[in-house]
Amino acid sequence: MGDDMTATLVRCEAVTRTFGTGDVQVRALRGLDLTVAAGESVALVGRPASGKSTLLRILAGLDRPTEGVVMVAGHDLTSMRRQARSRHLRRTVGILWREPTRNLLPYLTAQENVAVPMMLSGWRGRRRRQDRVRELLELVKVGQCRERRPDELTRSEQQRVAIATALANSPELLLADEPAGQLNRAEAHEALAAVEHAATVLDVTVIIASRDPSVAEHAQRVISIQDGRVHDGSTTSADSGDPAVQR
Amino acid sequence: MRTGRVRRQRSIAQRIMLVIIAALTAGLSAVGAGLSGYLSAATDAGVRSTLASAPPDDLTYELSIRSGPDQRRHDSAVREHASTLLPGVAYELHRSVVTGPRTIHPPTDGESVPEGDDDPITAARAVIAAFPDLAEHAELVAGGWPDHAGLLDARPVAVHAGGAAKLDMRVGDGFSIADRGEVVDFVVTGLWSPHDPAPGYWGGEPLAIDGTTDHIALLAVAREPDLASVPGFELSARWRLEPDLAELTAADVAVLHTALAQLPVVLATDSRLASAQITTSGGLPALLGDVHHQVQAVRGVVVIPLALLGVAGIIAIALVAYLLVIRREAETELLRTRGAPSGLLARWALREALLVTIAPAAVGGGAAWLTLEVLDVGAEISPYAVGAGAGITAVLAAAAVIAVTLRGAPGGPGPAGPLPPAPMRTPMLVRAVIVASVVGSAWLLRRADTPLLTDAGGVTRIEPLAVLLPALVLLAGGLLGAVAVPTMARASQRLAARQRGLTGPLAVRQLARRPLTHALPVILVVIAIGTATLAAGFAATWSDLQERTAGQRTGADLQVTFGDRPVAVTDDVTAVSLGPYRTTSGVERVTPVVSLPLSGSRSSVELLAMAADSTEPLPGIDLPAGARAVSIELAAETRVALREDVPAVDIDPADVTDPAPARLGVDLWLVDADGQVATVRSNRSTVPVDAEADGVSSQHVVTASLPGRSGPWRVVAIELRLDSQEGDPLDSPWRHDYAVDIMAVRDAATGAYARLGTAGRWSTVDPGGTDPGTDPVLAAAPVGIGVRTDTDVQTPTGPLAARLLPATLVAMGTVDPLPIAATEAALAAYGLTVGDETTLRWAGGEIPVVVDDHALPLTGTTTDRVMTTDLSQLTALQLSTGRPVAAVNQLRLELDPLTASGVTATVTRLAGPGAVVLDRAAIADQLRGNAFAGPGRVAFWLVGAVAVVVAAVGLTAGAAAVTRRRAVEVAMLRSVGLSASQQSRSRRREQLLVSLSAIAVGAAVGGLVTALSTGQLARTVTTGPTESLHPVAQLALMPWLALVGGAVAAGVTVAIAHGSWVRRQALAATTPQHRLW
Repeated sequence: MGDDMTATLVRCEAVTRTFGTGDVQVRALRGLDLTVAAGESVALVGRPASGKSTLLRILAGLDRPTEGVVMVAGHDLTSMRRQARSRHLRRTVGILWREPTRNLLPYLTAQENVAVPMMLSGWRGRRRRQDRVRELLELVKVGQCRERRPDELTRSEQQRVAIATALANSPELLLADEPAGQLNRAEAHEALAAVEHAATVLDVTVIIASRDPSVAEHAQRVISIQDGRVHDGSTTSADSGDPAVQR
Repeated sequence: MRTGRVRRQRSIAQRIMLVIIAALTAGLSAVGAGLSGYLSAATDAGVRSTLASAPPDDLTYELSIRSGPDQRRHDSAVREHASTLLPGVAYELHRSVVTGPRTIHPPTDGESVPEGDDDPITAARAVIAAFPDLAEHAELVAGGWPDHAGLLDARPVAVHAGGAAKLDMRVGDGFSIADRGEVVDFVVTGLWSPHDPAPGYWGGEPLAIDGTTDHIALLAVAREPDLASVPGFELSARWRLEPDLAELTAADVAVLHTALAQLPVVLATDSRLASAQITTSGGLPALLGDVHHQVQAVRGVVVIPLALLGVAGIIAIALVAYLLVIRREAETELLRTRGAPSGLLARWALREALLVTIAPAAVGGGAAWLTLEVLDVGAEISPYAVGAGAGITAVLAAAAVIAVTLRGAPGGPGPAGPLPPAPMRTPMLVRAVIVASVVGSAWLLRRADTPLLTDAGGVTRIEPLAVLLPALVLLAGGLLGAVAVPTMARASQRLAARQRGLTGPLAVRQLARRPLTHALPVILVVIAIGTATLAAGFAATWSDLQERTAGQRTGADLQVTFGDRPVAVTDDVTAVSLGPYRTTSGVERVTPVVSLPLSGSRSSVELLAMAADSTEPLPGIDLPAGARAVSIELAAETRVALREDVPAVDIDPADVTDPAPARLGVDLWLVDADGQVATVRSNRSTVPVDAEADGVSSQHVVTASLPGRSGPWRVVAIELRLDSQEGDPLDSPWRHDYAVDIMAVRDAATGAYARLGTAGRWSTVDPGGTDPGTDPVLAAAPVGIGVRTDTDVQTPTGPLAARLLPATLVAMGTVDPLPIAATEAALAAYGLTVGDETTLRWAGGEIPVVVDDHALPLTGTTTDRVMTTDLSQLTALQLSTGRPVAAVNQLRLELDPLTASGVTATVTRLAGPGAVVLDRAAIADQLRGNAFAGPGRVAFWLVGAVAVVVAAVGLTAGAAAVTRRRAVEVAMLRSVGLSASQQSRSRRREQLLVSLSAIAVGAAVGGLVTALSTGQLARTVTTGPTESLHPVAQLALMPWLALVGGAVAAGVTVAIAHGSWVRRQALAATTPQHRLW
């Protein structure tokens, strides 16, 4: 394999995902093709139910495509077994959901939440873990909140702690599903900026799914998804100002 | 931070749910362990009290071996095998050596010469025995134990004081036994009496206890070597097994029962007893078999509510665990997205499940133990029983929690993605399977007569399927309810759609389209209500059966039985006076009964004769009420002539002497209004019976006193009798025939005459029962007199008595054979079917009968082998055929429940010391107080109540789960304009429909199970109901209503709470499945 192949972190070919049983079939993805290079920051934009979240769940290993090929960091997710899938979730990807409540365990403090993925990955050394936690919280500018529980944080702070948690195990790929969906504009901007900053510092590939085209401000490339497919000609640089992307 | 902290924090976050699971488990464990421990202790106590109150004969087990040359080897063999067959059972083996009964005589030594026939010792029979440890079980009354000191030839013995008193024997006296030409002398060194007549050592043996019996005058004890050395004495060694009643448990009973059956068998194969003759006796094996059956019966019945408790408990715990899973759904997904492996989550779930079930179950078991100790149930609490109850609860609870929570920690998506949405309706196949399972299990329940099986060896064991069937039927009924509720909702959708507003139709639609949503709560409620119904049904059916069993034994509120055996009516038998009973305050009705134990079949059968309402009274001459005497006018004419049927005997007149004049009189047979028969004898008038009496006519008036305390009487038969002066049957060298006209019967008090002709035609019958005649009453009645020569040749002659009866009575009595009704068991005992004729025999005579019917309600008897007949017809038959007339020997008294207090004591006083008074209420109380009966009722009631509580918990958990599951829907409905109040009302209605429908289904299915099973269950734990007494399913209505009312209240409360939660949810319009904090 050449350099191009090595640089490709995510590759989806003709991915289809169909839900339902019997006569009722809902096709969330219809032959989607997508390639994301390592270190790239990609915004997936599209209307609700266009297939963004389904694609992110498949890339995270939380769901399987009905058809097609999904490769992430050289691993074929379609044939991945249960244990490998858990390992994939622990080491390869970090996930950031829209709702802060889905990102943080309510009964743990901020630093404990950040430490959970590390602990699940078998990080040794308490000191080392604490340093890493502190470093991540500082990176997303919530270092002062590390002893607080989620219900003692603002929504913006919660989401930034969640970013630190998603990045705790130094994943190669950060998947963010509407990370600013429940935030106001200022908070959203702060959260997305935190993602962008952390990804840059930690050299993490980022895929952000959002219905809000303004997320393109924080991505290198914008991909429009429509009816379960990548919209023809939609893939473009965020700086291009393509109206098809930015509407 | 380690994963342990996350796990702990995760548990602490859901502490309320975990505490609920733990509390539920602890409660169920307390009930299960408590019932198990209570059952164990109660059956142990029941075993001990039953055995302690048993007659001595029933507590005896005696093994006898004809003594061989090596008795020591015999003894070691017996003890060794007993020890092997009775591991862990506390018992004692008492060995003794006895001779057979021997005839004793006065001593033969020179100084004590036999005193002749007046000596009571002469020809008395004695048993000589050796009791190795006699001194521990008897006390010396005089003298000392056998000792050779100072004795030369005579063997020393100590004799029982009872026998010594009978034979006037003292210390120093002697006796001898002659055997095969040898005479052995014994000298009395002491007198003794048992100081512990309890069963076991003495085995209730009358000779050992009283020292004398009808056939044995003396029990003497000697030293074993002295007995063994007597030539010609055949000795038997006896081992009496005495279980230690204070230590005996229900488990020991089964061991003992089996061991006692096996002991003679294994001894017979032991080489040490190769040629020994082994026999066993005593009622202990049979008693143990009966007690073991009762223990198994209680166990078999109690397992049923325990099984129901287990099923209900599992479902309730599963519902709460399901709620826990739902509350953790988002959290679990979060952990999964962070890469938590499924194994880790499963381990956490497992650990948590064990923590919230094992420890609480242990606590519950401990609490049960303490409670039982405080309550003092009459026996030691078995730690194994309590531990088993707690352990089974822990295992079931842990299994339920683990099964549910592990599903809440899935390892990731399957190939086809997330689970498919729940089906909108139950598939037809599933419905068919459920209906089939209800029908099938109900059919099996119907077929299962009893939860017990008895094998060919008489060993009773519990039938697992029969025990579990009620639980299976209720479970199947619960499934049916889970299917039926949505189906009914679907059917009523159109009806609901006509209502104004959305709340009603929405509630019905939710039920109709989501069949699985409420399935588990519905099943739980159905089982709980079914269990409560079964509890109420069992309690009422059992109580009713005790009442009916008591009623069957007594036949009335009070039963008075006179004497221990039936007797024939004679002038010596005083008729029972019913008047005092009738006038006793509180007595409403008195019925006289003739109860005859019959002989002639292999099993005991009883004939009951009582007045039937439809039967005509016997015809006769009514005597005025209050008459105390009656006179009879007789016209006698004597003719001396040989009867044709008597063979002529050559008699030399010189060889005979004229007899003294004979006495002529009558015996009157009287019947009172109750059908009770009495006979009275008139005074006698003198008539000549010598050869010169031929052709002599005379008039006589005789008078008979009437039974004082009874009446008014009706004369139904007049028996003309000719006796000797001494009142004996007349002997005469000549044969005389008398023509006697009974002119009239006169009431001695008023002087009024009643001619016999006024009672219609009267007929003559032979009281010997051979030749009932049809002569008119005014015709001569022949009386024959026997002939005896001085050479003592007895010639049978004609009757010495003739009985006159109204012709209509004779017609009644000659309905021969007598129609009877009989139970199937009685028919089986005689091998009869309807229409068959046979002759029944009782101690007083025979009764020819024909089986008329076998549909017979039994009353007043402890056996189900009973025949009944009409008292008047029986009396008519006996009077007209000259058979002995059975006297009324039983009274049945119906009491006024309002004034019955104290009647039993009054009746007992009236009946006198020889009578047995059975009080139905007292017997019912006794039956209800049966030592083995308590656990069954306690178990059913306790489980019924606990099941309702458990159902309330399950309903609440189910409602909470539904609330969280439908959070998104609430927000959506709110957004389309359905207000919070409307949603609350709709959900309240939905929950109410679920609860009430499930309660209704539970009551129906519980009623079915009750109808099918409680009768047999009640019979199983009832002592002594006859087979023909069919229990009828009953329901204790008020307790049942209380339990069902509690369930309804819980359902309403949960519905209100459910509505309230939904209202808050709708007002907040949040999606709580994503709201963890």
